[in-house]
This record gives sequence, C-alpha cells and structure tokens, in this order.
Amino acid sequence: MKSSRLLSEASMLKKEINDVLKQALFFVLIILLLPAFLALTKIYPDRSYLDAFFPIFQFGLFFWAFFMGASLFSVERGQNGMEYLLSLPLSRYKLVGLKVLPRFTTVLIFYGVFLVFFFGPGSNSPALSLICFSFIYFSLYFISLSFSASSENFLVLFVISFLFLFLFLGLEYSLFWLTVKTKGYVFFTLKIAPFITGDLEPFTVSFLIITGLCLLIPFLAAFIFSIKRFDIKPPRIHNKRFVTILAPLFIAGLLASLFLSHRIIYIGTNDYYLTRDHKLIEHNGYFGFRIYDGKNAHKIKDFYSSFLPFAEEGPYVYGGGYDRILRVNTSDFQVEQLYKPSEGISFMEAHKSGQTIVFLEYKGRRIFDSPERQLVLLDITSKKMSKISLDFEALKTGGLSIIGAGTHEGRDFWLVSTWGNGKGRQVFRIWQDGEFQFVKETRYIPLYFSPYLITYSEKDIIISEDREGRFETIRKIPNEKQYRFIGIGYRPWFWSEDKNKLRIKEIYGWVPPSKEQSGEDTLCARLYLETFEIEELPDVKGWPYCFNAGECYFEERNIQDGTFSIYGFDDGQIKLLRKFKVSFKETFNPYEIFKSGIVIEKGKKARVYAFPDLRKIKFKHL
Amino acid sequence: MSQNAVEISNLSLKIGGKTILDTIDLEIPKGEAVVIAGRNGSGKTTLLKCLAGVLFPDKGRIAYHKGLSKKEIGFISDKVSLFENYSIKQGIAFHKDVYKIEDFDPALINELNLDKGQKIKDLSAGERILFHLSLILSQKPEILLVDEIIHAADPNIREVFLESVIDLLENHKTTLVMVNHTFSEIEKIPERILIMERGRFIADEKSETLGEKLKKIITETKIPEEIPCLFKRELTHLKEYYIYPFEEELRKKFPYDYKNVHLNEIIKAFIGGQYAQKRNQ
Repeated sequence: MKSSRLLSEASMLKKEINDVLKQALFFVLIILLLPAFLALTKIYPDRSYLDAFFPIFQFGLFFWAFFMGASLFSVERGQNGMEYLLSLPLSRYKLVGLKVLPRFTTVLIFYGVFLVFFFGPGSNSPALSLICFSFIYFSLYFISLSFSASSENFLVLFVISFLFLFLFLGLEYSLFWLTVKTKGYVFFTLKIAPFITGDLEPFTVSFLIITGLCLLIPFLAAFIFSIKRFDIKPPRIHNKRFVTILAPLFIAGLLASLFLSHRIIYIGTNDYYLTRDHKLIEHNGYFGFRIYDGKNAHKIKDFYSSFLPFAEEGPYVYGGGYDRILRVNTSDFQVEQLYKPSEGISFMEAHKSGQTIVFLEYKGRRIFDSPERQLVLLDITSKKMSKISLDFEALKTGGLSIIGAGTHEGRDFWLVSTWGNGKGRQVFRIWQDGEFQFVKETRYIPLYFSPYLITYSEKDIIISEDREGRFETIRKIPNEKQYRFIGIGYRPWFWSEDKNKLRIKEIYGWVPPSKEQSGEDTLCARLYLETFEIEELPDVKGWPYCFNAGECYFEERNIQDGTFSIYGFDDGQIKLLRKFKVSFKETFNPYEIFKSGIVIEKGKKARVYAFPDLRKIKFKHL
Repeated sequence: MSQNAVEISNLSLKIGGKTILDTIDLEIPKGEAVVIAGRNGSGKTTLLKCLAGVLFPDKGRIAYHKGLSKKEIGFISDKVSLFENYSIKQGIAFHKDVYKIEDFDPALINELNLDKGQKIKDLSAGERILFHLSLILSQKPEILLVDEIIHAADPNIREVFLESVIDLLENHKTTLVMVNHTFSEIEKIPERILIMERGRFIADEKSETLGEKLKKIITETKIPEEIPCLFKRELTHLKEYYIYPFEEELRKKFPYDYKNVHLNEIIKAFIGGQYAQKRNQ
C-alpha cells in the first residue's frame, strides 16, 4: 500500500520535473539569446556579451522567481487538466508539495548560478547588490507562490505578485523609517541607494531578513492553510478563504516585525560620558544627545554631530565632533556651538585650559598632508579666537599633539609633541606671542604636569622642571623596564581648570603588553614626585586610568572568563573595588572609566557604577 | 455503511451566494447504478465533482466504503479533463503509474485505431471520451463517476462507451453514478434514478417503479385539482397532464385513460415541471 502511494507520488514528481525542465530550458534559451541579440544589434556597442548577459540574467531571474511561484497550476489550467489533477489519488498537501519541490529547487539552482556569476565572471558587471537581489528574488518567489491559486489568469497573477512585492518593499521601508523615527534617530537619512548597492549596516541586513520573514510567513501560512481546500470553484472562493486566514496572521506578523525591528535597529554606536555629578550623557550621531539625570531623559536633537567630551566645568561639558566644538549645559540642556571650521579646514586636539580652548587647525582632511597648521586659542566667554601660526620646519610635517599648557611670568604657553615625521618625538613650547622653542626629545609619549615634564631616553626617565622659562633636567631615573607614565584617563596630560595649581604627589605608569588588546599582563609602577622614587606595583596587572592627584584606578580584564576588575588605592595600598561580568565578544571595550564612575555597555543597554565604592546608579529611561 | 459504497449526509454548497447543493442526504449501495437527472444548474455536476473530490462542500460529509481509496474511484468530468499536452502514450503511462495499474487494456484505443504518439488535445470529443474511459476501466474502479458526456460522442462511440460501462458494472460490480438528461440510450443502465432541482433531490426512485408512478393523461378538459400533476403541456386543443405520484386508486376515482410513459419522457416531465414551476413563480 505504501509503495503504491510512493509510486503515485514519484509519477507526479516526474511529471512536475518534466514540466519545470521544459520551462527552465525555455528560460535559459531566452537569457542566453537576448544578450547575443543585443550584441548583434549593437544597441550597447561598448559592452561585451558578459556585460550584457549578467544584468539581463539578474532581472530575468526575478521573472523566473515569479514564474516558478505563480505557475503552480498553470500547466494544468492551460490544458484543461485541473479536474483530472484534483481527482488524482493525492492529497492537496502532497500535490502542492510535489509541485513546489522541483520549482523551488530550480529557484535555488538559479540562485546558485547567480552567486557563481556574482562572485566570478559577473563581478565587474553592473548589478544589484547580493542582499538586494536575494531579498527581492526570494520575496517575489514566496509572494507569487502564495497567490498562485488566486487567479486563473497569468497576467493577473503577474500584476498581483509584483504589486504585492512593491507593497512589501514599501512596508519594509516604512517599518524601518517608523522604527528609526520612534527610536529618535532623527539625523538618520533613509536612502534606497545603499539597499541597491549593498552598502548596508549588519543590523539592516538582519532587519531585512527577520522582518521580511515576519511579513512573508503569513502569506505562506495563509496559502498552506487555504490550499487544503483548494478545488475548482472560482478563485474568488479561494481568495476569500486566503484573505480570511491572511488578515490576522499578517497583523500578527506586522506587530512582530515592529517589535523585532525595534530590537534590531541600532544605528551607530552610543557613546557615554559620566559627569562628575553623575549625569549620564548618551550621544550618538543619529539622535544627538540624551542626558539622563536619574529621573528623566532629556533629548537634545538640534544638531548632527559626534561628540567627544574633552573637558568639564560646572554644569558644562565641552566636546568636539568632527566638524565643531560644542558646550553642553547639563542643567538647562542647552547646546552651544563654540567653533565651526570653515570650508576645507579641519581641526583636532581640542583641550580646555582655564577659559581657553586650544586646538590645532589645518587645511585639508589629514594633518599629515597639511603643512599649513596653526594653534587656535578660543576664548570661551568672548568666543574670540587668536591663532598662532606653526610655521616652523619641525612642526610642518608629521603628527602633532598638544600635551600641556602653562603660564610663565604672565605669558601663556603650550607644549606640543611631534610624532611620525621621521625625526623621533620632539617636544616644543609655543608661546602666546608666537615664539617657538625646542624643549626635549623623547622616546615615548611625554607627560607634562606643571612644572614638570617627563621625557624618555633609551635608558632613562628624564624629569625636567620649568625654570626661568627653560626646562632643565633635574633627574634621570634608570628605566630598565621601560615604564611610561600617564596623565588623566590614560592620556598624556594633566589638564586642569587652573593650569598652575595641580597638586600631584605621585603619578602612575606602566609597561604596556607587547601586543595591545592581547589581555597579556602589564607591569605597573608609581613614581613619587617628592623623592622621584619608583615603586613597582607587582599586584597590579591591569591597565591604569589616572585622574587627578592620587586618583588612579587599575582595570584588569580577563577575556577568557569575561570579567574585569577595578582596583583603587586605600592608604597607598592597592585594593579590589569590584569585579564585573561583561562580554568582550562584540567589542574589546565594553566599558569606559570616568572620573566619577564606570559605564558598562551590555548589549544595547548601559549600566553605571559610581566611584569610590562602585555602587550602581539607576537611570530612568536608560 | 457495510452495504453502501457512498453515504452523503447534510451536504451543502454555495457559490457566490447561490445554493448549489442544499443539505443533501444520500446512500448508494455497493454495485448500484444510479443516474442523476435534472435541469441545467440543478446541482448534478456539482454533486458528482464533490464525490470525485475536485470540489469541497461547505458543509456535510461524504463517506466512502471503508477501505476504499481514491485510487478506486474513476471520474470522467463533463470537460473530459486530462493533461492535453500529453501524447496518448504519455497519458497512459502517467495514469498507469499514478493509479498503479499493472495491465492496461488497450482494447478501446485499438478500436479507435489511434496513433499512440498523437496528442490528447488533437483527439475528437468522442475519441477523447473513449480514451478517458479506457484509462478508468484499467483502474477497475469500485466507483465510477461519469458526468454528462456521451451526447458529445457519435452514435458508434456512444454505443462502445455504454457497452464498456455495462460490462464493467456486470463483471466488476462497480457502483455507478452517472449524470444524464436523456435516457433513450442508457435505459438499460440505471437501477435508480435521482432527479435534482435546486440542489435537492425531488425524486429518488428505482427505475422499474418509476414507470408505475408516473402516468400521462391526454384530454381536452381540465383535470380535477385532486389529481397530482407534475407537469402540464398544452397541444392545440388537447392538454397533456403528467401525473406523479400515480396510485391505482386514482383510476377508480377519476376514470381517465392513464397512459404509460417512456423513461426519457418521465425525465423530461420532471425537468419540464421544474421549468414550469420556475416560470410561475
């Protein structure tokens, strides 16, 4: 009995394979001959056969996908065979399954051929992106399959299938737009072009696949459920049943895709800054700022910019993007633009020193390519700018870093360090009136904290003191282990609101691992500035993060077990403050350490812990 | 169920708001030959297609004899539906494989002297009917469902067709459900006659008793209303009254000349009666 049933199915399958093979042969002939025809007629004289073939093949495949979906019953309808077909000893599901199997197989085979051409000989031909093609190709197949029993007229099926494909694409677009807007990504511009060129973010691909499935599955499910009672009644009877099943499923699919798109769409990366009074600034180029004060989240969306905070004073946080310098008031949530470079001008290295913001301005996009550089001093109160030309041979090439600011006998000065110009690192002092002074050479990144400057020779740590307008070497400390000392937050400086009033008793340094981000152990040390003695800190294996005097934390990460530990000092003794569980899979830096606490990113959420005891701070709406 | 090939209960079907089958109940014993007649649109073909499984009813149930598979049902639709692009040879091969027929009997095809390479779509209506029947006869079906097709065939093919069906009924005890309007040629076939109107059976009689139950009166005068008249026809000054159901007591009470009627005329009377009733509504 079972074998006889299998024989029936095999016969039906054989018939379907024969039908599909004939159709495929016809399709292949057209696809092969059409480019040849174009070549012969010289409609596109500069195109090779392959150049003409691949776009035709690609668009031809859309029609193939439609045809394979919609033609489920077309052969029988075309030859008065529907009643015979439906009276065969096969259930509707078996019948449809045996019809779908060879058709879907050819859809996959042609997709495979497309992939071969896409990555092989057709890679230089104009074509849709892989994601765009695949998305339309399979969507069209499943849509046209769902409608295959909806009309006896093939032209009607063609119109319905393509109409629903466009509706489906429009719905996908609307879903994306709606999610982007409701999630507050007001500066995100939704464009069709990246979909066609394939220049998409991974989350967009996930969005297309997941929401696409959510919206297509109802069509397929409605088809499967309604085809169970498919017969020779007029198609409108089937369509009524199909729509009755489709409507609730589609609403469910739409809600599911809305929910999922909210979870999937995550544009850009959120950056965080924790203020000293524990306000959290979340910034993302696509939605601007959100400032969380614990109870509320204040949205600021009047500009499009990235925001990298470099200073804090009272309620103000100063930060620079790629194209401007801003001041954000965390109390009244006002954003003030302090500087915007003119066309063709770039800037970098913005720091705040007292009421002055200092930065480097240069022509073009990369400082390496620009010999025209100047130091810009921006007075925050008056918004006036003064510029000091860096028209010195040593400062014209390579990179520049501003490492400190100071005042000597009423004259302001700035220290800059050169790098990458083939002459090793050199430190220069630039005076307010434009005078330029060579200070020191150094092997590693120098560190300035008034009045001391730390530079490095091959063997020694060299400590210089600013005396009478010159930096004089006061100490050379042998540096066998090659320690490097660091400033605020792992950076090579100690900026302060009052640049001459830093009271630093000790600084911390380390020997980085041979490969950064390797998780290898580091060596850490403390340098006492009264005695200039170095104390090794053997218990500390992590990376140092220093803030003002005595404020240094060490973070020790264990990539293997996904944890990091924060160490602080208690009466000069190293002490474990807290150990956190994090994931290093998505990013190597899932957390950031600030003067007032730590912000840990977990998935798309952030958690905040405040120094000194690293208690958790709760933020509503975060 | 044990003696019934098919049991239909409460079968209903509406298409576009129009009732095609209206709560039909029917039992067809195994081996019975049933002919369904009725005017166009009365639901005969729809019922047959429901039995063949090409139409699903909205309500109700069709139960076949236990153990009967769809392979044992032969169906010839009014369109003589087949895969027309197939050649005769391909058509036979496909049908043999699907229905697992071991020995295909080519007798009918040989009689037509057909080229097996010929496409089915190129066959004449009659050839096609016989070809389809040859496929189904090879199935040796337990139930044979035949829609009204034989009028499209020439007298020779009609004869071959009917003889083959009768042969199948006699030798294989196949249950037959056939739709037909005219009984002149199929008189030998039906054991039971069902007459449909508006999706319901208005008559369900054994063929041998139907002649006893329907009589004709030809008179110049109007007959009394107590005589049940199925259909009245006026011919110049004479009037024909088809009496149904006729009972012998009517002869004593109303002494008319009650004439016997041929089966074909009986069906016509039923159909004519329904048309007349529709006109009067």
